[in-house]
Amino acid sequence: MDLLIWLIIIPLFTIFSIGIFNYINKKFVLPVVFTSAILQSGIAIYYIINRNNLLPQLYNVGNWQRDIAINLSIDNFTLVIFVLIAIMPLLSLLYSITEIQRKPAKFYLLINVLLLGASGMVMTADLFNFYVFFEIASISSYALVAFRDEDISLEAAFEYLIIGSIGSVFLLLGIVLTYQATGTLNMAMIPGRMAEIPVITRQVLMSLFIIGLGVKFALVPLHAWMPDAYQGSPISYIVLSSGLVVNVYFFVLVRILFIFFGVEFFQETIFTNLIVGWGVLSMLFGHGAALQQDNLKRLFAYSTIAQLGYVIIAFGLGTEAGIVAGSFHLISHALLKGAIFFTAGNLHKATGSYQIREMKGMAEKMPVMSIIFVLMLIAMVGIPPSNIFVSKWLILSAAVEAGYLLPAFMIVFGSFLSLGYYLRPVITIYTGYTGFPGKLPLLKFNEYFPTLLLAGICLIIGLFPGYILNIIDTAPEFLLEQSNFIIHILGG
Amino acid sequence: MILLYPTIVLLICMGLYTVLTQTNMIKIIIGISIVESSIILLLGAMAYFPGAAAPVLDHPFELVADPLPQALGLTAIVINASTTAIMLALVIKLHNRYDTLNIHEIKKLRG
Amino acid sequence: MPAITMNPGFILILVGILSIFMKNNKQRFILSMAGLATSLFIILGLPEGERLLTFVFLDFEIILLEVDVISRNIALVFVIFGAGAFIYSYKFCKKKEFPLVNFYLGFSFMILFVGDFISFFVAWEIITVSAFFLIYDINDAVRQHTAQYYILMHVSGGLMLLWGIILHVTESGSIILTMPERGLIFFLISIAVKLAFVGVHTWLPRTYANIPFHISVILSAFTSKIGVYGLYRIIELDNMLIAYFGAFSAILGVILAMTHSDIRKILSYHIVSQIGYMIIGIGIGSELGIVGGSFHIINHILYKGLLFIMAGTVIYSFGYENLENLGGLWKKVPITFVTSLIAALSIAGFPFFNGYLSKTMIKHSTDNQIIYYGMMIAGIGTALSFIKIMYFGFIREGNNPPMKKKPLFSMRVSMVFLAGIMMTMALLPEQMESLFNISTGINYFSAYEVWNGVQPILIGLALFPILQKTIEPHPEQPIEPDFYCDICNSFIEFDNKVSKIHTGDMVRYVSWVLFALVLLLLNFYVTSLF
Repeated sequence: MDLLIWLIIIPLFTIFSIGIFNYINKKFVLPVVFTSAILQSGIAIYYIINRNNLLPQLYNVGNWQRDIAINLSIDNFTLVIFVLIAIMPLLSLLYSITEIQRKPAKFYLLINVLLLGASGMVMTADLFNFYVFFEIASISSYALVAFRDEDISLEAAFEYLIIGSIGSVFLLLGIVLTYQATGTLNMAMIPGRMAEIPVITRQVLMSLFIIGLGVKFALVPLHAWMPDAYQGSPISYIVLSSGLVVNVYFFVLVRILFIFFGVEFFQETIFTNLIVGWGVLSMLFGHGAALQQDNLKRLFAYSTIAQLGYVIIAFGLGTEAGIVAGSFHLISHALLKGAIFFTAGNLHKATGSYQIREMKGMAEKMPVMSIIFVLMLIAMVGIPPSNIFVSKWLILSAAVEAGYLLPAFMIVFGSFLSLGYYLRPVITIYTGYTGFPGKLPLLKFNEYFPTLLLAGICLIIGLFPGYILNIIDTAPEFLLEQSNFIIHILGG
Repeated sequence: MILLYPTIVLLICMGLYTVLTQTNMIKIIIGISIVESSIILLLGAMAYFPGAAAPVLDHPFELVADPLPQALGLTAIVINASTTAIMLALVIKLHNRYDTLNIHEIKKLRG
Repeated sequence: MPAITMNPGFILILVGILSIFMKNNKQRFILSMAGLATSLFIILGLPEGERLLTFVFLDFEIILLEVDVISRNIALVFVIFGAGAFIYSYKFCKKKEFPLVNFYLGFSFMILFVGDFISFFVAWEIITVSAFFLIYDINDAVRQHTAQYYILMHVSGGLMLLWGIILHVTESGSIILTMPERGLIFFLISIAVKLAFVGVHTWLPRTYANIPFHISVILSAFTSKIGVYGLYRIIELDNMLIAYFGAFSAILGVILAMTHSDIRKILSYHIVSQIGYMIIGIGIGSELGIVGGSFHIINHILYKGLLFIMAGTVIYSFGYENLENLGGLWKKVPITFVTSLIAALSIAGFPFFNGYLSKTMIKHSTDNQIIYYGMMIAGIGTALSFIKIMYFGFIREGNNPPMKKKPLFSMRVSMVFLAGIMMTMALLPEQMESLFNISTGINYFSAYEVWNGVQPILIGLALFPILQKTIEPHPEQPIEPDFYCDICNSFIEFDNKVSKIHTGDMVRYVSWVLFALVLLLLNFYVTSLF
């Protein structure tokens, strides 16, 4: 069954139906949105469950020859993102029902555009298509950042837009120059021809791809938009962004680098050291900047930057263990960070502010949410039995095995820094303060359910990491061996 | 033809220079448009070689320009147009809120 | 009697979960005591030397149950002291404290019996976290600060342990709890933090002197002893260097103790010092040394716990704990006086009390003169500071602090219970030796040994009038800033400066993007030259 094309058709169809139903009868918008979200999750789950007999799968749009056609493909590495596609959008939409009171139809529309772009980017095996999906996702992101229509959201959106445009210009330049150098945009045909062009040209192309996509997943020093954008945008979007979209950009960069240039090329040109060092820089900078934040959303944005630093280190090692560890951390961070953002949003309901110092004494008002929040923050440091502990264990042992002792030690140091800043909200929330303004806010089902579900999933993954490891343990096959990917796309 | 590629590089640099030095938001947007347009120019230049016909295959031909960069260029134009539209929309909104077009006066987010 | 093969820690963790749903303190108390009784029953029936309850996690074999003589004996004394502490404190415990104490105890039990590094680390970290929540208090800024200090200190230690484990596991490919093949220093740092070795001991007096007395009783008995137990598990060779460090810790601990006046601060610094004895025993590494060290753990849990109970009772009855404000208490709280006198004589190593037995064992385990005189000096210091507590607190006439509340019946019961256990142990040395499957042949009650044991105390008594000026009680601050606070503050200051680069200026951010691109290209260009 070629279900994968439906991951693009369903959101596309939903976009138009939202517009129509919003015009006819607003009651139908929500059912349509949720039907489509459930269908998308269902498709992702279907592929995850039947991964052994379905994968790798190729869908040839328009049935052209494989070398000139637009190919959509799913292989075992794609499943890393499919795990997130199965979980995050549905919960994010669920949470947005109460959060987005103003113009909900537009919000759902933009979210679906974003999902369309994200799924497209993950599945496409063609650079042209990839660029189109990339821009689709980017433009909807810009609009979503501005969605709350406050001063700061507009400012953040403009900033994101300018930095993002500069990034996508370089990405386009990279794609154009790749075409110039290799004469094709089919991702499976590029690696063969790439090997023939001069090393320095390949390095220039690599730099353009890294900068173009690095802007989007907030590689330090291209990260500046992220805290600002998160501070200004709704929680539902932040969860989707840090839980799915940012990871998709990173995923695509990894795929491009590994497939186009190959691991051997990295090792020849000491690129591995560079990328591991960059990961360490990203991590330390993220943790350092988070240490003095007073705004919860900004704090977690910096923490996301730092956590992606771990993932960069793991993938930068270029070993099988590193890729598995990086994928595991990508997933477990996305899930836990999603839960943390939801909880922060719930706590925000009582104070109306994300400033940490205004959350004083929150624990008396929302005891359950507060304790969950605290436990999740402590889990984020990597205290067992959390999923982050497992992923840190995997990353550390992969790094030590590959001989990168100093970066691995920096990961340990970074965890210590992160405890330093996670303690601050904990202590502020658990400080007695009787004159708390306002009534006790009642949480609705769709506000606490996503939080509890994600937290529960994290705990289960922490106790039984095998569930996720079974899904991703074949992922390195399609990254480290270029020929596997090429044969999968072009046929034997 | 010899001057085409240097021109493109020059245009990119000009655009980036505009983005970096101007304080007016509209001018920054113009700068970005210049960069984007220069890339589209690059796409056009890549596809063309002397004596090539347009890649419209409804009559006999010998030499045609490469259609793929042109398609990519068209797509890029559309995308650039929409980004520019969003940028301008945001500038209008920002001007309403902050009452200025000077980018240095819009600094509520920091730290 | 059918033996249940089960890690006794799980019973208490289960009790902790159940106690959340109980209605009042009495029910929670009965439940906890039932949990301890069940654990006692399980511990007595555990088979020795087998690796049980194994399962696979991340390709490694987790061993949840591996018993040896020492872990079983320590567990037995954990049960005894746990019971004493529960009897003592159940009337003061708040609702949240029962589950936390049970988790804390449960993971402390668990760590004694696990046989692999992953579960060791898990228990190690959860002990820290549950202690953090026990120390933390919503309405008390001092306790919040203390808790923050505690968790930062212990988690940095825990991360060191993780790092050491990673180094060891990648080198050896196995996670069985044993002497590490690589990264021993990181294990030692981690353990040093947990057992409050001199230099990283700062969390200990700060914590135990600032939390409510019933919690300090529980925390002081277990936390650092788990560190010593960890040391015992990972050091298998004899290592005189570690023994020297132990002697150093023992001496410095008592010197620091003598300069303080809060009872609980003195006791805390004495933990640092007493831990030194245990390190000496384990560092010497002979069978007698290890048994002496772990026997000292057992004795220490009992008498130090009893002393903390005494401190708690004094605070409960009089409201003060600084010796400056106390005096002449022996008439008002006679039971407390007698039991704490027993504990003080024990800790000073007076013959016919239980500290004497383990100190003698450690002394007999080596001929090293440095260690011998080190222990002698530490013994003198111990004697001095307990003479100080007893004299200024209980015997001195002068201040007559009014008694606010009479000690509760439950408090007195627990004191008598623990003192009775200690005296039983002290008077039955052969039975204690057989509990450790060892026969030393030391005649503990011969005149020679007794004279050796009394010496430091007599010297202490002689020195006390001379040094009285310097060790006179004085008022104290609850929190003293130290070296680690300074490091943290300067780091945060530096960090604030660095974070100021996010000025909100968009042009600056765009220039970073271009700068990164140029730097990347430059890097490739430069590397291509070579």
